[in-house]
Amino acid sequence: MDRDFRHEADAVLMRPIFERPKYFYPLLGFLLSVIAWAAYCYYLQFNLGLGVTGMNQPVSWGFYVTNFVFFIGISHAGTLISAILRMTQAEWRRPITRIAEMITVAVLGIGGMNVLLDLGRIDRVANVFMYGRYQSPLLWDATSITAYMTASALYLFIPLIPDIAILRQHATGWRGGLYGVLSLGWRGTERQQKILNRCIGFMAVLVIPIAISVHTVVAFVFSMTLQPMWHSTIFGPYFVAGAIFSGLAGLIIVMAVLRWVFHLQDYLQPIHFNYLGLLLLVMSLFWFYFTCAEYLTAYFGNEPGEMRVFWSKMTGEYAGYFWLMVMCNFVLPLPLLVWRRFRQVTGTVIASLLISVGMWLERYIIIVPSMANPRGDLLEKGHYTASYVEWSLMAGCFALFVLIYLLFSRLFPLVSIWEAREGREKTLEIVAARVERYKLGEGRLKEEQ
Amino acid sequence: MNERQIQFFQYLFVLSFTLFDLAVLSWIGRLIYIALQLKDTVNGSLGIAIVAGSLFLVLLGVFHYLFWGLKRAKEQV
Amino acid sequence: MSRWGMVIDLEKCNGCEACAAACQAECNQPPVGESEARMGRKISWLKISEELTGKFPDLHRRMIPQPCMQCDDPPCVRVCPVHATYLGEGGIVAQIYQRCIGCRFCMAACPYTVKYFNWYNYAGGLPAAEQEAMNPEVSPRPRGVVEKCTFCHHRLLLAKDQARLQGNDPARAVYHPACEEACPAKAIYFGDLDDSTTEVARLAQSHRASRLMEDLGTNPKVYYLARKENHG
Repeated sequence: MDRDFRHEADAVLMRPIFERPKYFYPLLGFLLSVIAWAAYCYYLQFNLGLGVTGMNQPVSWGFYVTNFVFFIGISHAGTLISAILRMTQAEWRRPITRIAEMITVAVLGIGGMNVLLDLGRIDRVANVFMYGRYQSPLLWDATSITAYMTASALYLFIPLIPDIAILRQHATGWRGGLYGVLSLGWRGTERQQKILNRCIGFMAVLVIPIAISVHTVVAFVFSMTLQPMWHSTIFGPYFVAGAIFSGLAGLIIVMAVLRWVFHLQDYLQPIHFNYLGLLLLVMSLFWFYFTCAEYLTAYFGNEPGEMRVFWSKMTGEYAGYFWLMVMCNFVLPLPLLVWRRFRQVTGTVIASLLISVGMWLERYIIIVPSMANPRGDLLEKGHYTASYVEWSLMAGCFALFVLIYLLFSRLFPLVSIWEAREGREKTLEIVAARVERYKLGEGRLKEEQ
Repeated sequence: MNERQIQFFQYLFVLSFTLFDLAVLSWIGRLIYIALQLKDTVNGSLGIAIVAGSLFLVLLGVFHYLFWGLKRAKEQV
Repeated sequence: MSRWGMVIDLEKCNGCEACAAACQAECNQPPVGESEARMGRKISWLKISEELTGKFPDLHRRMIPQPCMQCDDPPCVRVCPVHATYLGEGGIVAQIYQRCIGCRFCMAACPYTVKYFNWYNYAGGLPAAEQEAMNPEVSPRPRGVVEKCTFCHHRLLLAKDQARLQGNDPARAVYHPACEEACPAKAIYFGDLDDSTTEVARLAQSHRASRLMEDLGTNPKVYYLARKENHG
């Protein structure tokens, strides 16, 4: 069974699985120690109460809810983008889909976890199952995130099956057993391939509405309340656009890191960064359009409650965050993404890093200023400064994400091997045949008539 | 691991996914039961439950189609 | 069925805060300490805001006591994921401390910001003497749950018990909350809004009466009486 994988095609994709990288244990140790510190901070919070955070009244939501929205947003990179690329038969999707889908699965869990971190009584979380009520947008969240999690795990798993079968040929020991179980008896027969393709195609269609519903519903948590600058009909689409935007940025960063760490230059080529950079540019423009629409409407309406929030963002306490967000999400990335010369690996990665910061700030300044400036003019203004516990748990979330990705990279190929092979062997024929069908100006329709 | 063990774990895999899916469905059912009992936004709850419930049924269907389909298609070479 | 409501005459209120003190003692609201209070975490079910209008020397100052508005359509109840807060008997918005999971969605949804959170185990951390001095009719709240003004619901329960003992109809029981009793200026009126014979029902219909953020459609049951110079 254990033929040497190094003689196979695409050996570089299997190397991190069968040969332990030398940085594996040091990195694992580092990540685990960050997570252990975060766990200790959470233990403090669990024991003493949410008082160890910086939250107060009226700012009763802070970093955790910001991170919840942020991470759920990042999760849209994956499955949604991969599904759209698969459906539109974009050939350049092949090396990207797996990486994107794995981001979704990892980050979705972390996003959901942030809601749990935010609970004052985590010991009563079972009440959500026992006495949950569907009038609360929080239950909409719980339902649609569970659905998205299940669907994207399935959507990650299905295209993984042929790769697991390939890995099985080289694996021994417990890995052999694991791959044996997960390959579900894959032999690559024509009928099996047909079933697999059918499932992938169906899931790609199914996953898109689920993904959109998830972030819409996350936005509804805010927009369903009557609070100033939250109660806005644009919030659903605004959050979805922001989610895809930040998700693309996250995807580009992860791709660049994996490309560098696992020597995937042959698979993740500048062209992929170029195309994703174009998508990012489109989403950046979308984001700017939505932001203008949202803030101009509030400004023109001049409703006193909303104006307090509005001015706190424009010139007040949160102006620094607001304008940094505009810089990071629009002004700075725009030239990097518009000019072909910058839209290379480095340029798109810099733009993506800026956008990640900008989108986190966006979530923050949607949540905190509205809570800090309650509607009534009698009510006291609030202030919020995150405590070290909140910062530590946020660091823990990022460490957990890297950890999940690291472990995944030691078990499964990061680029779909069978899809890469299919791309090399069949793409030209398939695409040629496809284009042949719609050659222009040959008068074929006339002949048919 | 021999073939028998692998098969055992494969069945365990499909069983655990099925159980998970059924657990979610029974959760949704429980929420409907409570909504009816407390007369708390019954229509809205039913609406959400119908959409979410059928979605989980579809996911269950896809997984079983894949699992049994691949199993059956193994023999026809 | 009664529909309990409150009318606060702002022209009578002198801002002495006796109502807030009585409320804290009656409903076992723990003192949170100076540093916590400075962070904005103090628990005072009846909070008093100061409103300044006009410019010096023509300055007008009003104190506005704000308990839970006991909305007829409460935004906090809509968003609670676990039935921990609900519109209870007599239109009182209730909070089940043993059910609450501490997600604070109700606090985010309440436009009046009259829901309070136990960031630490405030009540449990009090010295033994203060614990003993607590009102046995009201349960102290544990860490990590939301609490709020209940219109002294425990007093309603007592009044009903009493009515039963005396052979009267418990549904017609009448009671008075601690803040109303404590007000030296008699600025707070409390009673059944649906019973047209009560003073509360009469005052709530007065042309001087208004409610906070009425335009939000939450239908609060706390009315304020203000001076209306400019209206006929």
